[in-house]
Amino acid sequence: MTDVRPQPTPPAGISREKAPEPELGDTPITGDRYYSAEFAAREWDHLWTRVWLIAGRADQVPEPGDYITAQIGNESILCVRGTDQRVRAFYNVCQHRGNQLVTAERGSLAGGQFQCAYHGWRYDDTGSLLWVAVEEDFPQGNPCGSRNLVEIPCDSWAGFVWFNMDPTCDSLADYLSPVAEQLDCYRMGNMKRTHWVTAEGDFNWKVVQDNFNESYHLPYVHPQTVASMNEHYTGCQFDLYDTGHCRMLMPGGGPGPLYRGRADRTFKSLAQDFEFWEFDPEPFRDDLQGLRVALQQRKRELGASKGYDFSSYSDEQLTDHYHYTVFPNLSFSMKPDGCIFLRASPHPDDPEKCQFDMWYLTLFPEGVSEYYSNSMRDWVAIDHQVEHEVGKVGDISCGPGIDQDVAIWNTQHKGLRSRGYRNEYLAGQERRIRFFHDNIDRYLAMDPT
Amino acid sequence: MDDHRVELGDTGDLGDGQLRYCDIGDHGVVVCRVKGEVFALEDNCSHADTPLSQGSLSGYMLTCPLHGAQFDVRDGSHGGPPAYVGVRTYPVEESETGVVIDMSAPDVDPDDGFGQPGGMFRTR
Repeated sequence: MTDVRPQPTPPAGISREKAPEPELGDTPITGDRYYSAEFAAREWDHLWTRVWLIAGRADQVPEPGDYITAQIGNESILCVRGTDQRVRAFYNVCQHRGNQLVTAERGSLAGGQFQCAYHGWRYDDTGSLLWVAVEEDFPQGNPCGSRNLVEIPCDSWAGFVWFNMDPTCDSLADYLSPVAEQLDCYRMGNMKRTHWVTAEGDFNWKVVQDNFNESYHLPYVHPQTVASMNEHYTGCQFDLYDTGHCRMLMPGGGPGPLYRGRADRTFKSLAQDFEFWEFDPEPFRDDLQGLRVALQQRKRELGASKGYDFSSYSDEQLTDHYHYTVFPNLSFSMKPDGCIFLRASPHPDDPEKCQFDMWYLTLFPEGVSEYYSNSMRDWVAIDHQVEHEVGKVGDISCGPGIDQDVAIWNTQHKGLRSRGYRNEYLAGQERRIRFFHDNIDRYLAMDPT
Repeated sequence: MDDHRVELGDTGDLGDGQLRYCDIGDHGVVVCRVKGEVFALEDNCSHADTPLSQGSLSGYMLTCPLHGAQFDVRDGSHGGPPAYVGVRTYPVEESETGVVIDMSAPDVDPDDGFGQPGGMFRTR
């Protein structure tokens, strides 16, 4: 599945075939799962050390010798592209006495080797130990060629570099099935990361993933959305796959049949879309439900002239919200011209904090080097190396829609701490939360790695 | 009569705690009586544009039927999320001949300090 080069165009459209509903468990989702150090330790031993995780974007390591480091909990992982074009992942630790080998987030060997700052041991881009000082002074023999960096499984999909700390893990393709096959049509490998934000928040990582596993909160946290999407549970489709991943298909391009508001509210909500696609909504003033299909047709009509190749999308993908949660901690919210990538990772030592990542990936139309991203309400440029904004929740923005989610997570975590919270009472449309915790428990029941 | 003053007719049969819809203006007007006094508001929830006249009245709080946003009928102020802005109210004169409302009232100020991250989820 390694995809170093951009993907060829796959068959058109994601199937909307409904997955069979899984049997759901009934273990109470109690508060301690979110604040107990003991639960967090179990998650580390049984979950984080056996799942596929993302280190970064493949275009951060385009040439042999390019490398990135990624943090997960207390671990630092080093990923480097070799002269054979393969990207390899290693624990970022010198095999002499354990010093962290690379401290930069990103760099390039430029023909050289990794050199430990402590005693100068040198490793090449395959992790082999090439040189040590005074090699004759080791009673156990010269360590070169044997005390190599500890390598872990590494692969690429959708332009992301992935790693797994379990050397016996399933392949990335098997792990991501069936989500990867569905998302291939978006050619995320061809997208550029144009926003890159990491915010430290005072809430457990699962508060974030719970949030993206339900849309019940939309009218309350994202009130601006009710006029332009059918967020009601009767309008959405939820699919829960036995690999632990889920998707939600939510109609967009106009409100659902339960909306009783004014057409002007819908028109304003979709104004940027209508303007870009030269679409006149007036004929639909008394038929707001007709907007969706008409807008799909318009995008189909004009797509190529605007530099888009929509041939791999179904009509629904042109207006609807295809929202995937990949177990354990990723969300991909897909648009025809980009993707919002969301991830919450465990804090190294405090279960009541996490690192929240928001990346926006833009698919630039053909021949366009600067683009107005409606999702981010921001101009982005194809050749600009996006800066990694790092800060605390509240100090930096994660984009206009996500900022609304972030604002509720503080009070959600505080409430989970209360003696007055005993366990959840979920609506049917929130069953992805139930499924998420069932899958966590499935991993916790496995032997530690 | 000046253009902004609109007669709503006889509201003698509008009891305490009752709502009535009047087809006036862009979105209609919802009229209600609380503790003997008549109040008039724009019949349009500021959250998702739903007719408030289809909601419920309890004391001075009018609750929208769709997502539960609440508004104080005395001044149109909202009771917290999912509403972030109040609704317009109209001064009312009730006499023996009926009720007249003044529709020249200014629109609601959208910036009431509840729209910012952090302040967004304060409730009254």
